[in-house]
Amino acid sequence: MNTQILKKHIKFLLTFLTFSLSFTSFGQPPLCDTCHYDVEVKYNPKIHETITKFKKADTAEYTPCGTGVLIKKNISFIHGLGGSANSWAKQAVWTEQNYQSAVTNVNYDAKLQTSFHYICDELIEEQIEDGSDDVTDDYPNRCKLNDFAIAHSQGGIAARYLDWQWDDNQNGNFGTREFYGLVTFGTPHAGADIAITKTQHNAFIGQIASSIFLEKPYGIVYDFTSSPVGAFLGLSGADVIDKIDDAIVNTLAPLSTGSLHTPTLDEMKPNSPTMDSINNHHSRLRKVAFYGIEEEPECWRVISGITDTASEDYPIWGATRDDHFQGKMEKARAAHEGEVFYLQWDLRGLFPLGNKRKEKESELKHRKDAVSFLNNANSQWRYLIGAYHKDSMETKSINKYTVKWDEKYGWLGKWYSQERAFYSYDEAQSHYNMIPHSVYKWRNGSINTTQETRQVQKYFPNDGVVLERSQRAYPGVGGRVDKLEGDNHFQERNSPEAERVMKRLYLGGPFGYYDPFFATPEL
Amino acid sequence: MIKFIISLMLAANLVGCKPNEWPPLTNPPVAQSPSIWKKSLEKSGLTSTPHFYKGNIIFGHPAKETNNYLVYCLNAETGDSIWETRIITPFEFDPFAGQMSLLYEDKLILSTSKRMFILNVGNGEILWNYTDPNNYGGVCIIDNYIYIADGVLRETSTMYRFDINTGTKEELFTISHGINEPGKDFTPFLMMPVKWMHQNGDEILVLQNRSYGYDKIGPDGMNGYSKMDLMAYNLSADSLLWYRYEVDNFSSGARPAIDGNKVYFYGDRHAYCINPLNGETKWKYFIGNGPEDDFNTANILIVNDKLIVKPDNDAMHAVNKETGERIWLNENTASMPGLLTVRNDTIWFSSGGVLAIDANTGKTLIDQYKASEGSWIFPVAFHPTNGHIYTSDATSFYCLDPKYMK
Repeated sequence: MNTQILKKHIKFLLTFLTFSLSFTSFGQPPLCDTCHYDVEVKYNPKIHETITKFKKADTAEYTPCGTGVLIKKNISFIHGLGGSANSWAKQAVWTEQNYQSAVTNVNYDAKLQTSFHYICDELIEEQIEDGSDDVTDDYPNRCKLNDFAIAHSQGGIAARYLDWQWDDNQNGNFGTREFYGLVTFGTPHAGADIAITKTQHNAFIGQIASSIFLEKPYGIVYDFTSSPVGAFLGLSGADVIDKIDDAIVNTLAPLSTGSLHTPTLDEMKPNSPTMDSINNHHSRLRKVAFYGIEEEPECWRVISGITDTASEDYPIWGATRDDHFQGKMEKARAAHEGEVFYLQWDLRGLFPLGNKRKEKESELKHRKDAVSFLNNANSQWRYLIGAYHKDSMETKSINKYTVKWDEKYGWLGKWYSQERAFYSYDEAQSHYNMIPHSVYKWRNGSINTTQETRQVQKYFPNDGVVLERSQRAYPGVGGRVDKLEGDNHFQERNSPEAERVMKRLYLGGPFGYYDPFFATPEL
Repeated sequence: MIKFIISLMLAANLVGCKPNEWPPLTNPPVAQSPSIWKKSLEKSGLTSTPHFYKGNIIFGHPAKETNNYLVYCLNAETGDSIWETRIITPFEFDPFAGQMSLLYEDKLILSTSKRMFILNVGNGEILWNYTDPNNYGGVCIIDNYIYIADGVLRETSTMYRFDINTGTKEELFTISHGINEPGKDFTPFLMMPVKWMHQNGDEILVLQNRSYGYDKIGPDGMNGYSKMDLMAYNLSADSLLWYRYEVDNFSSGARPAIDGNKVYFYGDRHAYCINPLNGETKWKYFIGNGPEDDFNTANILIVNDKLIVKPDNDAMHAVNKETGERIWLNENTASMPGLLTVRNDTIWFSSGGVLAIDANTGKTLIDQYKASEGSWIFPVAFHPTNGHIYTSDATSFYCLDPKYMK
């Protein structure tokens, strides 16, 4: 009887501790005290402000086809870094099947990206020219002045580079102009802050891996396959590493590893010579810049798109928010927290001794590090992409929810006053709901709301990879609100939001959502 | 003796730990789910504007098969299916835009810029359909007629109307590109009209010719010249009543709103109140000269004595519809709102979540509520009595109780 009661007490205690740990870890305001990845970024806000300040488009944009002429347009689709012909394939087919337009789906190999000059000169321009020529062969009298390109991420920079070369550069085989308008999705027009911190990304990805995969100091891997984490992942430890390594090499690496040769990423740094050149170029293109804004935790959502289902693997316009990876990481953290509790318990006793003790101490440290990393991972990701910057602080009033209650641990026990603070009402209420299940007796429970004023790091909205302000900073596009709400960097070219804005783009003049230049009638 | 007392205390304490003797628990505040019911849809896609009709809720959504579109009629209380109609077209049919799905008496009109289907709302039967040889810009209903206006080769724009019962098409008037035309040598785009009754009994259509000079340099120095011409056409006399050239430049394509002898338009950073008798501006309201102070997405809404002015940015204004004076301004509503709807002095729309704004005070009542991680970008319909609302997240259709939406 007594043993059962003691077990029950321990069970309650564990439940309570687990919940306390998880809530304290989630309840943090956006201030990352333990982030390691802040770097000296020479951030120049003026470049964003001057670019986005002007409402109207640049002067002397290309004059579109006039009245009474045959407008048979060619729309070129250009993918981003790490992408392929698959990136826009479904959207290109959909466009051709439903609208009065031909399409050219550009494909360039990420491994050949030695520079923007090279990929535009040798890879992209030729494909666009061939595509346009094919349409002209079928419609010799067509007016080409309404041809335009649709580009995602780095593809937008490549298209702008090509536009610049067509206008200004005789040093290369760039041919003659083949498009007169450009629509970008998630393109870092003012540069990609993530490019500045690329040498930090290996460590970040490495910590993700080690958070779900523990390696003993002497090279033997802890067997996670039978653990809750392994079961949730449905993978062996080695498979996990393989999968993440695969993701790093094929997709995330071009954005996030300094060890790979990614000169185009260097060229996309804010204020780099390439970015300065294309931003100072007096472009006459017609322009629209769609921008995605993802919600917290954007880090896991972006990595979900890389490690699980890619945007292009969803049906057309069906790329939904993917919380798969987030779920994995939360379960990994919960498993680590539980193990930390038991390891600490073990190490309080006399046993184990010797090497066994050292091994347990090592595991305890590793698991504590993993918990710490996982608790702050999204904040650290925000530093990496520039969404937080150590010099950008703002004063904010934050609601603080204090759960107060009295509790006692036995019939003759004393009443103790307890309180716990949260920065989310939902979390406060969940904690409140847990109290009766965690203590012998309780009374006087309440949730009080107060306001705290504190300095927090200013948060710059983003799509998980590129800041909103950079996605919008296409010179001459003005301050238009062309938002893809809730879309992350990879999702934003195949989501319901992308479908909505693409259809509105093609509707063009009559509805007037966008420049009539882009109007493309339905078949 | 001391040992005995301690033992007794411990024993009593342990007895107190029996689960069945725990003190009764107080009831902590438990949030109730706002989701009354939800219907999963066949595929992720854009949902049309939902409509409430005699206890049922009606909306359209793409079917899983290519170029198939499903129109659903569900019991508004339970979500049970009443009828379902499949529309099959040679190309994609997706009437997603807010003002392209209309309910008029017992008929549902679903339209894209190319095709239109008219259904009997009682049983889902397709009564008639229409495919335009060109493309048209919008659709609206006045009395028993469906109006559209096409654009042909950037040279002409013609207003047509259809008898909603028979589908009979009637050509009304054309505005052409030409120096001697009222809009001069600009490409005309006739927008959807509102009807005003002249004091002599004539039926007048008041509308915008949203014209564009493809080969012209606009007042801002850029190639391409947008201008908002306003006009009134006397349907009874089959003649132009008045035409105002270039009231403004960039403008919204939203259908105007009418209230008595006032018609409201959105121009470049201004909301206009126009006298339908002669086209004179009664007042105009300036929304600001910020880079995002444009009108593109929201419709024009009148709530009691207020004109609701919602630009593409985060602001929402309410102005006195008689004088144009500001009543309130809420600078923190979501941008790119799509269709605004109103019920019981509350303005509803979606933009990454469902928002509700008190039309009397401008206070945000519900701020971007989401019942899922889906795309909350579609308009909101209402139950007339129990207060429930209906909308979609692109993959499911929801009935929600606003009482529990935070």
